Amino acid sequence: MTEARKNHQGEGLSLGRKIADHGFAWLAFGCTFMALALLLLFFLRLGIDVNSWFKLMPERIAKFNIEIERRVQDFDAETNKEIANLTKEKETRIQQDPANAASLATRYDKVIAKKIEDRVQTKREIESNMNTDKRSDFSYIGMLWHFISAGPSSQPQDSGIQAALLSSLLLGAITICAAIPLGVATAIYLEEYRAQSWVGSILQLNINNLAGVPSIMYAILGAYVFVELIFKPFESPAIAARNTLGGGLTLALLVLPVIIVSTQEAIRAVPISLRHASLALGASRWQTIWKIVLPSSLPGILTGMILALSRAMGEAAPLVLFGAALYVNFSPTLFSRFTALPMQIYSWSDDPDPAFHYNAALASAILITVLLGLNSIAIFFRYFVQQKLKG
Amino acid sequence: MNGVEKSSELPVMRSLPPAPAFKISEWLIEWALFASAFLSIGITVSIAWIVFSGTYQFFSDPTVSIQYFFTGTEWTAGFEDAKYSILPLLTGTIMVAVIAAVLALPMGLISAIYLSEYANKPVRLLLKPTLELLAGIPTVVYGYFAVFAITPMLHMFIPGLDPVTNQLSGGIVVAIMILPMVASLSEDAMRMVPGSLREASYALGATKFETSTKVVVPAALSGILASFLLAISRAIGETMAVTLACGGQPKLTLDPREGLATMTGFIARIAQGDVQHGTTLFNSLFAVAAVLFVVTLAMNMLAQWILTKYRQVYQ
Repeated sequence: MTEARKNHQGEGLSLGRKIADHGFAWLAFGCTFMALALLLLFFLRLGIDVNSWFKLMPERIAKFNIEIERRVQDFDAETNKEIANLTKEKETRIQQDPANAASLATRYDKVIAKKIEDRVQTKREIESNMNTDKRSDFSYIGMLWHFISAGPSSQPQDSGIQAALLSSLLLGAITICAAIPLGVATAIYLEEYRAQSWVGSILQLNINNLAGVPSIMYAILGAYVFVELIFKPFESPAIAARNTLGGGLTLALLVLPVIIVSTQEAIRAVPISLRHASLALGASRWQTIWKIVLPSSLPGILTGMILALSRAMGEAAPLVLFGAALYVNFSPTLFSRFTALPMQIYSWSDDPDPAFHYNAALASAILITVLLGLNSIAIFFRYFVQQKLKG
Repeated sequence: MNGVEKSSELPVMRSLPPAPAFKISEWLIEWALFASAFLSIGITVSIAWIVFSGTYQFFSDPTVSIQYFFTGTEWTAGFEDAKYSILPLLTGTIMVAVIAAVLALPMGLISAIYLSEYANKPVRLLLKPTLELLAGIPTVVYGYFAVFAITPMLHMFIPGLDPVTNQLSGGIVVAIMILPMVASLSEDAMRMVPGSLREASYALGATKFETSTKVVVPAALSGILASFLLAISRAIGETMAVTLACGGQPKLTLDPREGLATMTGFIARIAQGDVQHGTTLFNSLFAVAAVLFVVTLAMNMLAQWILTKYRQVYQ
């Protein structure tokens, strides 16, 4: 009887299942580390291009210095040629008309003297420009500093990101100032007042949809509301229609869902016992929120704020549509035209001159460094909050 | 019995005034908060209104026919005999989205399975932030990467590849962009599956592979599908990377080695130039934006619906 019943103990897995199991484990491992490999490849490429920038720029600067000097020499040569022509003309006229030799001579001498004076003046201007255009700092730090502190120019080696960087920082500040109050207020409303009602679910649905809307849509909205409706009527030499304030507010609309969702999660994490205790002690609803719930969820809100800031500083598409300029030579103010660092990278990448591509690489590296710094602060914050909640 | 004490023996209680059920300051605050919450609805409604009224203006132009818009084959805006059909731009967008989806969705899902089932705690703590790092890189920089790193590399292997702009590198770069999203959301969904299901499966003799694919993934399917849809919707709405990688020429072809403009790329490039208000070209921007809006909105709502309707609550 016992032979009829096969004993399956100790048979183990079939070969096929074993292969599938091990194979899949390796596949899973491979896929995950492929993502890391892509990241590495990306940074490698960026690193190579930044290195090329540091190698390429000194020779371009030197070449341009030589060209500037040649310009001065050409100018001198031209001056001499013109003086020679005038002198020849003078002598020809005197030969043709010897009667008026004296007066002709005086007139021509006056003209030649004036010409020399003009040319000397112009040459002095050129030389002073040359001294500012000519660059002598070939060290890595010097070139990097020039890159950060100079505005854009038609020469790739002289172009810098100063206007773009300042614009991006100003835009980020405006975005945060506008989005935080609105976002936190909306999140409070959703979590504290309408957590279970149908109004709340409609609002929540709407916010989830807004999170998925492509960024250009916000630009279409911003361009219409902030430019056409609000700022165009006030357009003046002091106030541009497509100004930094409008751009910052458009970006604020863009990051609003991010702030709302992360604030909601932070508020949700506050234990309900705290709220109950506060209400039991006689506090009103708003007092509970303002004094108990918000301070407890503050780290989460700050994390959301930093994530939103890094998203806003990395976006170029909505600003392109909004009308940010691609060539801004001045420091942007609240109501002036503006640009942004991602837009600068975009326009440099698109440029037919390959030297600008290296500029784009260096600007990308700087942008990524800034954003990585912000994101690391956010991740560190989240870890810190988790530790605090655990302990 | 004597169960009731005489009132004179009770301690003297100063009676509190009845608490006001309605305080004006509370009511004001609630309405202020509601106003800011209502702003989010205002944003959606405004976007829809602007985009659709522009589309209406576009279609009321006699040179534009709705039928050709959806069935035609050319987009030659700005020329003498301008033809406006959404199909070339739509093809460009769909090609990028399909290439990105084919690459990123399986890889993201398998990475998520690795992170939630196979990886131990220190590895997971290292990998998750690294994945979020990929997500934090701005899209312009991905565009740069596509044009200067990926296209030259592909050019070496694929004959006939357009060396400047092509859909393939656009698709690859968008895949890299949506990979962290798929991995992160799917992993969250798989983490929600209770351990008892996995342990039951192991107890019945299944291997890790069988448990992951036949128990965990089906249990977390709603979250995984929602993450797929959100990732595809992000791929469709991506602008900067595809504008740089795919170029700005609307073409109707299925060859990924060429560079076709996408809807978003078209909007970005047109907005860069000087287009007069009120011209047909300007209004065409709204028509394309309307299609983009409807498609992404539909995908997002579908994802939300799947997430809520099919979410299996284990309690």
